[in-house]
This record gives sequence, C-alpha cells and structure tokens, in this order.
Amino acid sequence: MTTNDSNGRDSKLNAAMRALAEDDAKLRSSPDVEKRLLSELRAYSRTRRRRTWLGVSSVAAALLLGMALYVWRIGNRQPSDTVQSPSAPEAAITEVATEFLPLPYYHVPMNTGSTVRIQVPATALVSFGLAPNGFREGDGTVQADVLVGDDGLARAVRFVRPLRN
Amino acid sequence: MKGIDDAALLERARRGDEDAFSELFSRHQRAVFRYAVYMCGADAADDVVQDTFMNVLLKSGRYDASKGAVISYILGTARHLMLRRLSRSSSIPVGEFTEDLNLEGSIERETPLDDFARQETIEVVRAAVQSLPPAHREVIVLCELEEMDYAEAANVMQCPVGTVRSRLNRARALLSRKLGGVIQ
Repeated sequence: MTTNDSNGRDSKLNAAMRALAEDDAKLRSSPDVEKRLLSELRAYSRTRRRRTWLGVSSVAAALLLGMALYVWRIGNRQPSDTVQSPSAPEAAITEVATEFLPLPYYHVPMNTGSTVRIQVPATALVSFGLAPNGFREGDGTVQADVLVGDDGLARAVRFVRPLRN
Repeated sequence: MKGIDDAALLERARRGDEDAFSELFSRHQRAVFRYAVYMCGADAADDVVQDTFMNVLLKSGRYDASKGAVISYILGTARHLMLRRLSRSSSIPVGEFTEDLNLEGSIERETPLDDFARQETIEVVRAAVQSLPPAHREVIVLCELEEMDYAEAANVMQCPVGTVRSRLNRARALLSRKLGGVIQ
C-alpha cells in the first residue's frame, strides 16, 4: 500500500467517524432515567436531612443531660438522696429500661461509673430513634438513667418506663 | 444554571439541588449513553446511565478536579460499571463488511435514496465499531466519537497516554480493514 493510499483511507475513515458521530447525536437515554434519578435524589436528600436532624437532636439531648447532671452535682452534695440504682431490686420490679445508648463521650475510658436518674423531655427519646409511647410522664418528660464516669463525663443513657398496674 | 461549570453543578447536585442535577444530566447523559451503547449494547445503556449518575451523585468526595474534568470522572465511573457487565457477557463476533458504498459521495448527495444509502453506510460503520474488541471499541468511542484528547481518554481508561495512542492506531487499522469495501 502506498502512502497516498494510506492517507486516502485515513481521511475516509475520519469522514466515516464524523458521520457516525453526527448520527449518534440523536442517541439519548430514556426520559424515565432522569425521572428515576430525580426521585432517588429526593429520597436521598430526605434521608440525609433526617440523619442530620437526628444527629443534632442527639447532641442537643446529650447537652441537656450534661446540664441536668451539672445542676444536680452543684445543687446536691448527697447523691444518695437523689441517685437511685436502677438495678436495685425495687426498681427492677416497678420499671423497665432500654439498653444503655452511647453518648458522645462513650469511648472515653473510665475506672468507675454510676447512674444518675434524671427527667428529660420526651423529644430526647425520639432523638435516639425510640418511640416515646409508654415512657412519657404526665408532664411530657421521660425518666432516664445517665451513666456517668468518675471523671464526670456522661457515657451513656437509658430510658426508663415505669410499670403501671 | 447554564453558566455554571460542571464541578459546581456536581457539588450542588450532591447537596440535593435538583436543577443542578438536571443541568449536569442534560450536559453529559448523551456521552454516557453512547459510551454504554457501544460497550454494552442498547438494551443495557439506560441502566448504565442510571447507575452511573446514581454513583456519581451518592459517592460524595470522590471527584478530584486536579485529576481531570467532570466528564472524564463520569465516564470513568461508567467504565467501571460497564467492565462488570462486559466481564459477564460473551464477546461480539467480528464481522467483515464488503459492501461497496462510497461514504464521502453519499454524504454530499441529497436525494431520499442517497439519504437512505448514507444511513445504510453509517449503520455499516457503526456495526464495524461495535464488532471491534472492547479495548479498541472503547478508544474509538472516546477519541473519535466523543473527540476526547489522548490525556482525557487516558484518564477515563486509567492507562498511560501512550497506550491510548497505540490502541487508537490499532483500532483505526482494524476499522479500515473491516470497512475495506466502504471507505476505499
């Protein structure tokens, strides 16, 4: 094959490619694809907003618990008057509790800890993804046990539901 | 939205801006669709487009502007998804085309019969491209049909620029041979 032959074939191949590219301009995905993607995007945005809201609520709940604990520590030097042990036999009979749910400082090591019973708004329970039904007291609060380390940092919380006869 | 660059559109779309997403989609869906048609077939192309844009939208933080344009990133994502499909599918049989059609002449003529002939020629060329081995087909789609430069194609194909160049030469030689009767 001569150089001229080769050049001629190259230019014809280029022309063929251009013609194909122009013809391909009509190619496009089905309109349903964009609709489905928009729907997925909406669902994803909703989930992300919900997750963000839950995160903010969790932090707010943790702050609330921390403040309650602080007030309790300042205002009461005799914990035995106000602190109840949920594991005490009488508590076990009259109430049930959720598992301990981690708070922001749950990963900080501690030597000893104790639980402190406080009352928090029912929304604190919702922020952990739990339904407040059955936990809510008459004034719209729920009871919670906060696990506090010997360094004063709250590690976890569990919500307590009184057993009513 | 028209004046906003692709990177900003992608960022907005990832934050849930539907208008930004629609603009980004409208700019690039055709390139992804064409790439998919040639690499996986028309039946799978819609799925590839959908999976590609889903992936691009939801896998936040992966786009790095220093590594190339958004379109390269999108096509690279499409490629990754299509490789899975290609690895499962059987190879397309290589055909030879011997019809004596003159492409240059047929483009210039304007009668309905010539339009038909031109369209027929284009279909022959398309079939020839689709009959190439995947690696050669891919470089033809990116460099010849999408008109990407070697560096952009290398970015999509995750290979050196030299590989793109040599693969394109080989692909063009294969196409010339397949289209012998059409482009001589």
